[in-house]
Amino acid sequence: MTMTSSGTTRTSFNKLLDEIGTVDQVGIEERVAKFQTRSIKKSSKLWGLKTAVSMIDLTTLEGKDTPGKVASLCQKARRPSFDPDVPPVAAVCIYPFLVRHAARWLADTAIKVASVATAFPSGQSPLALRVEEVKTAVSDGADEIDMVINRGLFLAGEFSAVQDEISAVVEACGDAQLKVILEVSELDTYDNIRAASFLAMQAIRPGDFIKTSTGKASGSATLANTQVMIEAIRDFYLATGIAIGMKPAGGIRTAKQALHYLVAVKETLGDAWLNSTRYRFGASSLLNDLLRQIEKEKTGAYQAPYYFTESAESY
Amino acid sequence: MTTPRTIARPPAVGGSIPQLIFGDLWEYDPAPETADPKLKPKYDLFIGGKFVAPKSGKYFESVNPATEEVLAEIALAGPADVDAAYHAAQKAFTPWSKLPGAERGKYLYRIARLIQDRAREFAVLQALLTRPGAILSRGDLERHIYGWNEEVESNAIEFLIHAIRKKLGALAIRNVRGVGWMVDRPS
Repeated sequence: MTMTSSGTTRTSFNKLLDEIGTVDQVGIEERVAKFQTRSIKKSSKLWGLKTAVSMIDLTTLEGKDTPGKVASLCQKARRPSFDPDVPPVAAVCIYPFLVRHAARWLADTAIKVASVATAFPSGQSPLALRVEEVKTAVSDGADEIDMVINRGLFLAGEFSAVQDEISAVVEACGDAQLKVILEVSELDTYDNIRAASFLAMQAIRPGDFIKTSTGKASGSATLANTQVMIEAIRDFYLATGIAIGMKPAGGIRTAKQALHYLVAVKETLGDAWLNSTRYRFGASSLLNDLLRQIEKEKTGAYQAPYYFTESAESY
Repeated sequence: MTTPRTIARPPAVGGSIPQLIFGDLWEYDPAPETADPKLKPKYDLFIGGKFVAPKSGKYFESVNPATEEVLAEIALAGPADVDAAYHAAQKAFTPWSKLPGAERGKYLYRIARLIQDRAREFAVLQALLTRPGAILSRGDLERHIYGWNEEVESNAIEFLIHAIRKKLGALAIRNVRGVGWMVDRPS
């Protein structure tokens, strides 16, 4: 990068941050540490666990995924537990190639088919191909598209190019809902996460989502970077009245973590975001831990993990 | 957490001001700081193995200094009560002193064992009570209750504090987050 263009990069970041405000790193980290001290027991815990189940995007994103695996994942999504009290999950999240199969298994349910697209996880292929991938997934039956932004463009300060790409994908989505993955672990700073959140939110439609991670990079969702994003959503909503959804993904494996994320939502965005139309968890092994904890709350005893069907261990 | 700025955007849809709802959709569980200390309304004198009312019939009130609320009434012993206690002790001493040493030992060992079972709790409580208003760290308390070269378990102090609080109520010992524990100086 030459001197001039790095100068331009700094200028465009400064200009955007001037407009949207910066993030107080120490403050954010103190705040999220406090979220882990709330008293969540008994009925309040049970409500949280069940709500978390209903917010899950049950995910499998592996090279070895097959139609058979997607079929069993869909069965699990429909009926996560023998307990009729446990709601179905919100969506099943898979690669575009498998959308047709998932759509067949979920046709008679309210469970959404979500597909990652746009050269997931890097986003580094020509825009025309990425748009085509989105169109194919939607015509195959995807209700929701999880796109990745081109982090390279963002870090180079090419903000309008980033927004143009998102807009092109929005258009390709048609009626499908869009989730924009920022891949926060590649954005380095909280300021950058806030900046990317605003760029995405300005380009997407009301009811679309922003999402932390692909689950394929070194880092993934943490309470702190999720907090930066939901505060961006809050500020954007208060300024414009446009409600954007949030989806933390990757690294959320235990029920306890999930409850901490919900506490953050409750105390930052309020009750309107405590449902699956505005908040989702991208996860696979989280579901089994939630089911274990629900069972424990009801019977008072922990069951061995192998009593709960395995979905996918990774992600 | 973020620097408040105005965001350059078109005015809110429909002209109404967007608001966040912090309602009661998901309530947390209560997290009470105090356990019920189970105080009786009235305490008598313990003389001759049983509780008896004071001969004077006088009681005094024990007041919570924080709220000035009366906690309980406690018997006020007069000279007649002290005499009664003295005579009860005198009466008990004759059969006690006639007991063979081994029999007396049984009683004393039993009492000693009961105290020994709680020795570390007593030691922690003593360390805190003799220094009211001072914050003692985990290291300070470990130094008080463990001998040289004794193995210290990682959560031993927390466990003892918990055991003491269970008996005396949660406010008996105050947590000073990140520093240690203290007992408030009596006001």
